[in-house]
Amino acid sequence: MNRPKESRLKKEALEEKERMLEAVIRNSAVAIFVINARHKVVYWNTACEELTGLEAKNLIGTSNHWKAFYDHYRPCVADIIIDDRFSDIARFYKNYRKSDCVLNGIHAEGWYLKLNGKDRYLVFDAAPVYNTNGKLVAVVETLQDISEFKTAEKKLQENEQKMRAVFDQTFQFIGLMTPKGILIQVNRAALDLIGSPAAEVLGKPFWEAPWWTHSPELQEKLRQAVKKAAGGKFIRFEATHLDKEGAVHNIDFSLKPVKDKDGRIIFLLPEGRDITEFLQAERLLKESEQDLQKCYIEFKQTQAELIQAEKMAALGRLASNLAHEIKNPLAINLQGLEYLKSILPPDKAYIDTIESLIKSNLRADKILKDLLSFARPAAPLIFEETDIPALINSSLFFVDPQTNLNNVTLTRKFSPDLPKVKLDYNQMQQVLINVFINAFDAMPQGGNITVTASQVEDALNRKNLRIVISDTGCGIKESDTSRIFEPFFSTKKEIGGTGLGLAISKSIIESHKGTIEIKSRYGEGTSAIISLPIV
Amino acid sequence: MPGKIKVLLIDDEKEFNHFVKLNLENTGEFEVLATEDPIVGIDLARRNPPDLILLDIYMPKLDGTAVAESLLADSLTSNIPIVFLTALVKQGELSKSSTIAGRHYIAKPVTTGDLISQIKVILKK
Ligand SMILES: Nc1ncnc2c1ncn2[C@@H]1O[C@H](COP(=O)(O)OP(=O)(O)OP(=O)(O)O)[C@@H](O)[C@H]1O
Ligand SMILES: [Mg+2]
Repeated sequence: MNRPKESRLKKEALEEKERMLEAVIRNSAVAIFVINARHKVVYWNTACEELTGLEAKNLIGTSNHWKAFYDHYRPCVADIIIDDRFSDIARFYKNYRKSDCVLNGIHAEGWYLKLNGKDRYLVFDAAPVYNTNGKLVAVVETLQDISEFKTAEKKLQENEQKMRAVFDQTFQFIGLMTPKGILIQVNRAALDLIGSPAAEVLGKPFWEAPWWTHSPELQEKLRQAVKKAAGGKFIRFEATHLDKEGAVHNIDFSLKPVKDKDGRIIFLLPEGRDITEFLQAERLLKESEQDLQKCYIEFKQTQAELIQAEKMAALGRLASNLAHEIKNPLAINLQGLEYLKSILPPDKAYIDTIESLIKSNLRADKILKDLLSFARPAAPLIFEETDIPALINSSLFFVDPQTNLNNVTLTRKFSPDLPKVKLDYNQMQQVLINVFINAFDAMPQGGNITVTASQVEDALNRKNLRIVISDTGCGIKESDTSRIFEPFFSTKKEIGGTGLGLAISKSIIESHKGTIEIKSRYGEGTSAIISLPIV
Repeated sequence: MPGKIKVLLIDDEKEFNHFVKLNLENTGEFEVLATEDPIVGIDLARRNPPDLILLDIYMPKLDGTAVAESLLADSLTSNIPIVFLTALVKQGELSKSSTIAGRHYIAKPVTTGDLISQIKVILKK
């Protein structure tokens, strides 16, 4: 008799529970719908209405729940559970799995385009409901719209990919390591340089990686740099890396501490910039700058020489006009003096006076002749095969008288294999006479003159005739050496030097494509070294 | 008597002519006709051909080489040796006179001794 009451109470309690559950589901912020074993919608909560845009009153009792998601009929996850078609699910969902916590539950997710007005990423979780007999009576399916999360996630992924691409594709070498120097990231460029896979270098101390192993000093330097960077310092130095072919690269290397928001150093960021080409370019630039500088100096020199040559030419024209003008009165003087000499009584005083007038007249003529031969553009050279000892001896013949006079001993050393040389006999004789006279002039108290003639090869293996005329005379003051080839430079004005001897000699030698050099020690002696190409 | 060497001197320097004439004639071996005017000189050479002509190159009226050309073109004078007197000396010339392309040169200034010996050398040829 208690039974009906008891069962009534039980029923009330059950109804109460059902109402409560219904309220919970209805008011849940999660979209939930329920279908029974015959695929009829028995529940469609408010959140589900809002999400799908379909109203419960139109769906309850129908099997149209698919319309919320698809434009043609197909099963939802809940339907798949009822029909026990899990083996078939791949036909309908791309991203699915069995539920982690609910027996026979299914999880699926994916993008649904233009679902209730916008693209949504939906997550479905469907769970079967069994009665006390273990019979499937319904399936509860919850839907979650995680579009915003998904979009953000996708953005994040894209960003990360972009960053990774930059990281990998930059020409800079970049890595990341722990404050203790263990490498945890490294980019493509850095790996490509040494030709190693990432696995070989990650997880190990940076200085033990192939970038550094070629130099123990560099390894040590890096180890110290890591310590300093771990202490918060920014480090930068120039290093070298060997690439996989063994070529040396110059690297502008830096190490930067990376801090978290609390200021703790969590990573070290090593960066390397390959500056090999830059340095090379810099070197080339420097070189070409030097070349330019050299060119400029040469240009200036040539310019100075040109100006000098131009001046000399002008001076030459002037001198030659002048000499010509002066020679005529000199010629008259000379004739007049000779006439006087012939008509005056043979008194020694007359004769001596006239003789010395004639002499100085002739000396003036010699000066003019020297001047002219210097000033005039060189006469065309007349080359003849010349026997060098004969040339030297005939030149000495002109100055020989002085040899005895000045107590000078003369030594000749002609090498026996001297070939005949093509040169202008008269002009070369003039050169030798000038040089010999200079040597005699330098030794008024006597001394030795040595003449050597030999055949030598220059740096380019070309044969040259070399004549060296050395004296043991007064030598040339250091300060004068640069001037001795200058026309009119003479330290012997009082004994009639005009300072044209060497200037003329030089121009003659140069017209033979040869060189003349004077080496001297003041107080010890002088050597004139003449080189002529043997052609 | 073998007769004196007849020399015609054409030079625009009057004093030079004067002294050369005196000096040469002083030796007793020469008879010298001298003129500053090249045109007169050419005329003199035609009318009274000398043994040798001393001819200055640079003269304002008529260049010595032109005088020589007209003398050589005239059969009356074409055989007379001509010696150019010149103040221009070529580089490398050590000797006092020279012969270039068949022409004789004597450099000014010249001593009487040199002049005479050169004249004789040329006349001997
Ligand atoms: N062998 C030498 N020993 C000492 N000084 C020398 C010698 N050769 C040349 N010199 C110096 O070089 C100067 C220039 O020589 P250079 O032959 O050009 O002229 P110069 O001898 O003075 O006059 P000249 O025109 O008569 O030759 C000389 O005045 C002298 O100071
Ligand atoms: Mg000298």
